[in-house]
Order: sequence, then C-alpha cells, then structure tokens
Amino acid sequence: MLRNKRGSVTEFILTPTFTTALVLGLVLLSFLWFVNGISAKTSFERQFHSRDLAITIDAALSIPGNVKITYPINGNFTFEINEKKVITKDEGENHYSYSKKKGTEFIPTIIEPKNNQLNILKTGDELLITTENVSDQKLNCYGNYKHVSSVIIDAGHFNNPKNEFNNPGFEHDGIIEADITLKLGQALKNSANIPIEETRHLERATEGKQAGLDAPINILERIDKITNSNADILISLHTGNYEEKFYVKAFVHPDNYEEDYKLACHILNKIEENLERNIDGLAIIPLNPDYSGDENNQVLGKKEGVLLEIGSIKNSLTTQEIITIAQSILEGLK
Amino acid sequence: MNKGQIAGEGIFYFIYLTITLLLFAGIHYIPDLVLNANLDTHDLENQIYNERIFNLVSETDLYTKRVLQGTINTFENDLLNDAFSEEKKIAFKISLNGEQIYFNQNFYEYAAPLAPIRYKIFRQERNVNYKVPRTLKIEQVYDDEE
Repeated sequence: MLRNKRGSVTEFILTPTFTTALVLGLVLLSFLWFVNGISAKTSFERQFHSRDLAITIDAALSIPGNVKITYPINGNFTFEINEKKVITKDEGENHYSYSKKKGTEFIPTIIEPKNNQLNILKTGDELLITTENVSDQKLNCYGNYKHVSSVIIDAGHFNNPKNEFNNPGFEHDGIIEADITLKLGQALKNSANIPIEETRHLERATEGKQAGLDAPINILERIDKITNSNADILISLHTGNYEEKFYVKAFVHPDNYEEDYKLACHILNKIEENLERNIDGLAIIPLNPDYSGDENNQVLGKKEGVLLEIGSIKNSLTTQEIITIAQSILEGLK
Repeated sequence: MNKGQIAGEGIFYFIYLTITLLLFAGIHYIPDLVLNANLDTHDLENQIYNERIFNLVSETDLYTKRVLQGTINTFENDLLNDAFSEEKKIAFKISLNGEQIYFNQNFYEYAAPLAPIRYKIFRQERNVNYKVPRTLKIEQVYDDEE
C-alpha cells in the first residue's frame, strides 16, 4: 500500500511537475528567442512599404493633372515596381497591387537599396518612377499634332531706326528683342530640313545706308504674307521682359485651341528637355478673343500655329542656346 | 500499469502536447496578426478609386484643362472606359438622376449580389451639379483578396 502511495506521489505529482517545468522552460526560451528576433524582423516594414507605395501610385494616377511626388525610402529594401504591383524585398518579400488607368505608359523599374528617395512623376498618360531628379515642368499634350511639312517663320519686330514705324521690341543694356528674334529665326531656317517661309526678311542689309538694319515690315504686311502663305503652320518668335525669371510661353488662338495646344505643348516640352538652363515655367496661353484687334490675335488668326515668347530680354540667350531652342522647336514638330 | 492507465496517460499527454504546440504557435503568429491588423488600409483605396471615377465623370475646362469637380454635363458609360486596367477585379455603378452608368458591368452584375460575403462593396454619395444640384451615388464592388 505504502509503495503504491509513494508510486502515486511520483506518478501524479513529481512527473507532471517536472514535465510542466520542462515545457514551460521551452516556452520561455522560445518566447525569449522570439523577442530577441523581433527587433531584426522587417516583415512589418516590408508590408508597410509595399502598401504605402502602391497606394501612393494609385493616388498619383487618380489625380487629373500632372503630379510629382518625392517618396522617401527608409530601410535596406529593394523595390520592384511592375505593371501591376509593388514588390518590396530584403531577406523576404511582400507585394501589394495598384491599378493603372487603361493606356497609361509605364516602364517597370527596380529601385536598389542604396537610394533614399524616389520620384513618382505622372504626366498625362505617362507614369515614371525613378531615383533620378526629374523635372516636373513637362506639359501634358493630350495627343499628337498632325504632320508638319512646311513652316512660315514670323520673327517678331524689326530694327530700323531710320524708319518711322521702327518696332524693335523690348530693349535692355543695348540688346533689342528684334536682334534675338532674328537670330532665332535664322537658326530655325538653317536647322530645318523642311521648306521655310518668312514674314520678316531674315537677312539684314550689308551695304549702303541701310547696312545692319532690317527691311521694315508692318503688321499688315506680316498678316498679308501669312494669309497668302502655303505653309502648314506659323511660328511667331518673341522674347519676354522679366527681371530674373526665365519663362517659355506659347500663345495660341482660341479658334483652334485644341490642335494649336498640342503643337505648342510638344515644342515647349522639347525646349524644356534640351535647353540646359533653369526654366522657371512653361505655359500655353489662349489669346483673349475679346481683343480681336490685338496684333497677336490678328497674326495667329490667319493660320494654325503658335506665338512663342522665349526667355527674357534681361536674361540673354547665348548663341548655343539659340541654336538649341531652334532645334528643339523643329523636334517638337515631328 | 494497466491498459486503462496507459490510455489515460496517452490522452493526458496528447492534450498536454497539443496545448503546448498551440502556445508555441501563438507566440510566433499572434504578434504577426496584430501587426497585420495595424496595416489595414481601411477605406483609403476605395476613396482614391472613387475620386478617380468622380474626376472622370466631371467636366474638364477646355482651356485650363482643369477638372471642374462636381460639374457634370454628359453622363455616359464611355466616360469610365479608361478608369482601370483590365486585370483589376473592380466594378462601379454610378447613379445620377435615375440614370446608371457602369465600369465593368459584367463583373458588377456577377459580384454585387455576392457582396459583402465573397466580394466587398463600398458606397458613397456626392453632391454634384447636373444642370441642377443632384446627388451622385457611387457603388464600388471589388475583390479584396491581395
């Protein structure tokens, strides 16, 4: 009986106690191991980054205008962004999907861990995700302009102080607008491989009393030349007058706004892309139809085209910049 | 030890080990479940997608190209054609003044009766100007399996 009772103590108290202590010890060890390892766990961050980045892309795509978002990256992750989802990787991986609009152009990209930020740029139907510092000036063109096979250049103003209708445009430190528009017009004519017509004569007199001066041309003669021209489009060249800023503007006629907007947009985007200078703003501005007697309204009212106002008389262009602008205008026509 | 005692101990250790394993699993998985719950995006994506739809049905100014949110002049299915890429399991029914337009109508008609069990549904109303002030109803049906 006694042995049986001792057996009962061992069997029913000591063994379960020992087993329980052993199991509790294992559980405690496991818990400590988990607590020790949780600081190194990146699963939460991976999931967070996948979702946050995917939702940020969705938000950018849902905004109707153009958007640039600078997105900071923390942690040692690689981001693979494909057409459908954001995949965040380190020793493990998580993903979260986003949804493009139909027709959105996007080149899948991989962002390596060494980068600490990325730029999400949505321009019209184009989505760009890159670590490079991209410009957000680009305009949304809403489509392509028709094929252009010939151009009439209207280099704004003319310089001839001997003429009673002399119209040199803005002046600053001995530089006049008529000089800049002449150089731009000449550069355009020299770079073009399509037929070019001109309103204002793009060569100045070299001999006689008129040497170095422009042949006078008034607004009615300009309009007459534009009206009778067979060229597809008109490009009128001007410069602005701002203290420090460098804007590139395109004025278009309201009667053909949608098509002229596309033409202006492609030209401005090319200038912005090629010109190595800080541009403070690009703008496409419809002329006010209430001022139909305005010179610009009259010039642009005769033919499809744009009136470009490039830079400022107080922030002069170098010869190389003039050539770059001319080439960019021609690239914008393609 | 007789057969009854062996069976009793077997049951005891079976229960004991099962509870222990559950404890181990709990230590590892419960924190992850808590973390995942904290990562719930709630209605954020639905709000963003509704905003996309709302912008598409709203009028765009010809000259400034700005969307005039809440001003609706035309109300037809074509407005929503490009809202989402085809692989997304999402559909919309937009109701205005007794008219309905859809994005992905086939999926809507299939999924809407199964919501909110198999698919999720998100409803919203907005004030708009459709010649006169009216209420626009947006119903979004989607598959939330990620």
